Amino acid sequence: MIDVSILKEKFNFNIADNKVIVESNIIDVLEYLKNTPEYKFDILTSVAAVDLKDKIELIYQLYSTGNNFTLNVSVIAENSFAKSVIDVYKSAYFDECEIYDMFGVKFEGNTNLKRLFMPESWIGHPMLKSYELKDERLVWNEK
Amino acid sequence: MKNSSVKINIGPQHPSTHGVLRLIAELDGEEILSIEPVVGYLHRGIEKMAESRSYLQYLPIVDRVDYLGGFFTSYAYCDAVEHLLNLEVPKRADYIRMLCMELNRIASHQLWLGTFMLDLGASSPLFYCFRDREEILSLFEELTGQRMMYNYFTFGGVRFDVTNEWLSKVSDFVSRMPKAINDYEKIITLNPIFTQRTVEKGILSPAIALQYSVTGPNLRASAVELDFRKNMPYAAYNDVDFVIAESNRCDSYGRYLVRIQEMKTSLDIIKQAVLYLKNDSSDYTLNINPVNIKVPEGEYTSYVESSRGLLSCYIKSDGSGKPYRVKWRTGSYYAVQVLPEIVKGLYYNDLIAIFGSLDVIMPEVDR
Repeated sequence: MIDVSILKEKFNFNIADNKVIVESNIIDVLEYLKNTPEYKFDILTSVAAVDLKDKIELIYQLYSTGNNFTLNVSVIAENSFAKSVIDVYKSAYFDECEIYDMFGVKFEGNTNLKRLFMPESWIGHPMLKSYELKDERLVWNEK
Repeated sequence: MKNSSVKINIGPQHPSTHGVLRLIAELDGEEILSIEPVVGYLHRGIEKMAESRSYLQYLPIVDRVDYLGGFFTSYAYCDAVEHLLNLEVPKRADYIRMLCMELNRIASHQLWLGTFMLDLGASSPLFYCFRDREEILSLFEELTGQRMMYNYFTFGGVRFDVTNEWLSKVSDFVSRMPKAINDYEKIITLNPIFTQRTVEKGILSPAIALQYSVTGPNLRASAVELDFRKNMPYAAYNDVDFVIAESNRCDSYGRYLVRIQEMKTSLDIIKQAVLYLKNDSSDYTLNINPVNIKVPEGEYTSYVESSRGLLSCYIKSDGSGKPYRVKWRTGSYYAVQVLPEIVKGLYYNDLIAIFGSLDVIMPEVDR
């Protein structure tokens, strides 16, 4: 197990079972977690977005090959805006495009942000809870 | 020089893109200046489907996330649900699951090897691989009733018990396989046409691989010993002995060697699993009723080493009968992303060979 209490002091985290909730700058946190020898989280395994109806939560799932430890870092995308982390982990590019496509979160700093799965002309963001099967925006398909 | 560059489109219906991948390539003569993968042609909305179905109704769909490795995706999903439900799966079920997953890994690698060689213009290895893969699929058919989408694992165990007769058939198969793998190696490993197109082609350095979150055999061929079966043991992997296949070549050839070695490793694990199952007669399921399952509030991520790298399934439950959010993380998704990085500056004909060596399949990328 990795001691996350140092992180708590440094970044003022809330910690709940293997998930740290970040309120400060996500880039600083990830850079710290990646480059500090005690942690060395060298793989960003994935970024999961969850629509909590009034806000969108982004969960950065990290893995450290040296320490064999996983850590979930959670951050809230305020008004569907978040900071891009592609400068820290390049693998985040597809994840960010997918989250933009599916949840409409815009990533500041990702200059090539575009829809990953849906066609460019698609209206709306399908993974949002407000987007239901009978949504009128789906007539796109009929045309 | 830039003025002479040409943009060409490859795919999406190109046979060697293993599904439907489109590549926008910028070429200067035959040299690749840049490449941009365009994905999404096989998007079926598997993550969205979860939110309108009960946990049980979603179970048959998860096989489709990676249709060549249905057991891995089933396992990842069942494992996450079981953790949320606080269920302890019986030892026998764990062994049966492990046995199925390892057979699946061999079948998946055989398909990869056959189609990879087809990409390189060799058609006979395909017949060798499919001859033996057929045996595995017949075994699966006998056990689960299906050749591809098994829907065999369930919450708290597996659907049917394995019989001793079936286990004997598996033993027979395992005893024949080393010779079959030897056959593959005889026609491929030292073949000069093969080595010329793979040795020192498509160099994926460890730093780049980690930066792009590449996992599985691709990462192990880049001298990083990361195997979630060993690092974070699940199912019964803690109880069996096996050696992680690894290579420090970092090239396409290394990725081939690692996968051949992995088939042998899988055979070792299967042997041990068969031995255990033959001498054991405990329960294979917890016999819970999965129909009206209510999963307590919480979230969990399961980590599984699939044949194409780390497969993880994140489930968030709000306490109701339907998952609030399911997120799949698959190996191919990140292997596609690293492709532009490793083909830059090479020739166009290397592109297909290198892409083939990464073992990308598109349903896993698009989900």
